[in-house]
Amino acid sequence: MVVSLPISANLAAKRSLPAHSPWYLAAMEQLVSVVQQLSQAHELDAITAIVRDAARSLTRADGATFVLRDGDCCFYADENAISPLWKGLRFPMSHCISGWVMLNAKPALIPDIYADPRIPQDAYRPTFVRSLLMVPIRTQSPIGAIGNYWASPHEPSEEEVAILQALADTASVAIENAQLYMQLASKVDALQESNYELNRFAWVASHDLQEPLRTITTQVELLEMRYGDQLDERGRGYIHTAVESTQRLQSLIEALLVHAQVEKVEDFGDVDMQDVVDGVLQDLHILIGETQAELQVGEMPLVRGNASLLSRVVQNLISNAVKFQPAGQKPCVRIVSERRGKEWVCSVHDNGIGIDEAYHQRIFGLFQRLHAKNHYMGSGIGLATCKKIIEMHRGRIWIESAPGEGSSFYFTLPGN
Amino acid sequence: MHILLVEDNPSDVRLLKELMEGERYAPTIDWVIDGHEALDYVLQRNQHARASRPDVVLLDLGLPRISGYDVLKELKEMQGFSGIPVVILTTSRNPLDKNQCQALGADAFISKPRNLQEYQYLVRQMLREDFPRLVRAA
Repeated sequence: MVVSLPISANLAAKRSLPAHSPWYLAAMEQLVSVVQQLSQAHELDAITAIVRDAARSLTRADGATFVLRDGDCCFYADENAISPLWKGLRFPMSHCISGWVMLNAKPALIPDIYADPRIPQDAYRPTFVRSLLMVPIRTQSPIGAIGNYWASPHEPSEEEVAILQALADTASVAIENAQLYMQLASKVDALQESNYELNRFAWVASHDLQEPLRTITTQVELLEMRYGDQLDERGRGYIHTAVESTQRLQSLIEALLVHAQVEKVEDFGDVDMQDVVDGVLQDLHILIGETQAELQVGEMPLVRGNASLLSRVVQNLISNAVKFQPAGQKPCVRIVSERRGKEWVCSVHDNGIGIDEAYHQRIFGLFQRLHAKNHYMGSGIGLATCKKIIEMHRGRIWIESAPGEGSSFYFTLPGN
Repeated sequence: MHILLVEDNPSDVRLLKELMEGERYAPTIDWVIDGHEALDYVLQRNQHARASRPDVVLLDLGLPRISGYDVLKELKEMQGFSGIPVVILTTSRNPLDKNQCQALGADAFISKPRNLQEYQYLVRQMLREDFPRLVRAA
């Protein structure tokens, strides 16, 4: 968000420093601090309060109002004055000096309100006001106005107009920023909501999908166990294919559940990646044994994160490294880490089939598979889950690879 | 041995019973299909007026009407019933669900078998005479 000192204030400051009164210089100084306050205000209420108070103290007026355009009405949103003015009231644009200021997009200087035809005298008679100065907020199609009021006759000076206009210009930037900020905040809310719904959906769907799937699996297996010898080879083949498919569906659903559950974890602490890698190698010992994979593990860092989530990442990357290999090749996998500035870069390198650069981004998307199912087993969810987890840790994950030259997966984590 | 099985999926019940068929030490399984029935059973109300006291309760979590969590809570708070082991038998493999059940006093948390082999393992456990104590130890 950028709030800069309005051009008119800058110009006023540069143009006329030597010629201006000490009051003007002090007011400019105060205006700078108002600009700073406004730059930190993200809500209309806060902006209103700052502008209302500054409008009165900058010009040392007896009262100030903050008026917003509301359709065909002027809405007196707030005020700071020696006695009540019109706070909370609405007047038609055509019957109100703030309306005139907004419609004409220029200031109104009125030394004697009872001598000016633009003033609805009935509205002023109960008040202390004798003189006023009003400036538009935003010069292109104004969205409001700021008023200054004096109890005794007062001729608003050029300096007062300049200062008040500078405040109005600043306020208009702040109001626009607040509106953008509110739009953004409500968009973020909506996004978070839909993200939550989506995860909830994935969780419920995969949970409910598992029930019938378990039944199919066991019934087909039961059929094979009890009646397998009454079938010929082809019949047993059908059953075998059915069982295999249900197993694939089961691992798919489980991967989806894991992906959906990543959202729920909030437990972050110090994690020794050495322990994480050791644990994963323990879990994968069957796969490693079957493939006779050769693993090298370098020194691993202490990081800040969630150990079980990071285990999932490491497990995914190592099992991919072992699985995606040319037929008959012994997998060689190297897991290392390196400090770069405040973060750690961990990486998993393999001598596998490699991935064409065209797919380097896509593989981290949900349900992206590059291989036919009978070639390499994969759910198309694992790397998406890795990405989700690493991003939860405020890290990045990427790949360097070329077909036939193995793959290197990198991810960064904050140091502890 | 006498097991109260609270489960709304008939095929799970059929399979368990089938796998126990012909076993010498097969336990008696009383099957109820939801949380209401389960509470009626242990309180010996309605059609369960003559029910006997189970040695162990196998309880699904995703039940119609009253959830497994609420049944578990009631059972564990019930006078004279809290000592009977309750085994949660659920599709969930989520550690968060497991923690919640443990907090409510579940004696064991078993994820439902995904294939025949896992079923056979579960049934072998259930066929052991010391199943209730086994559950406690777990």
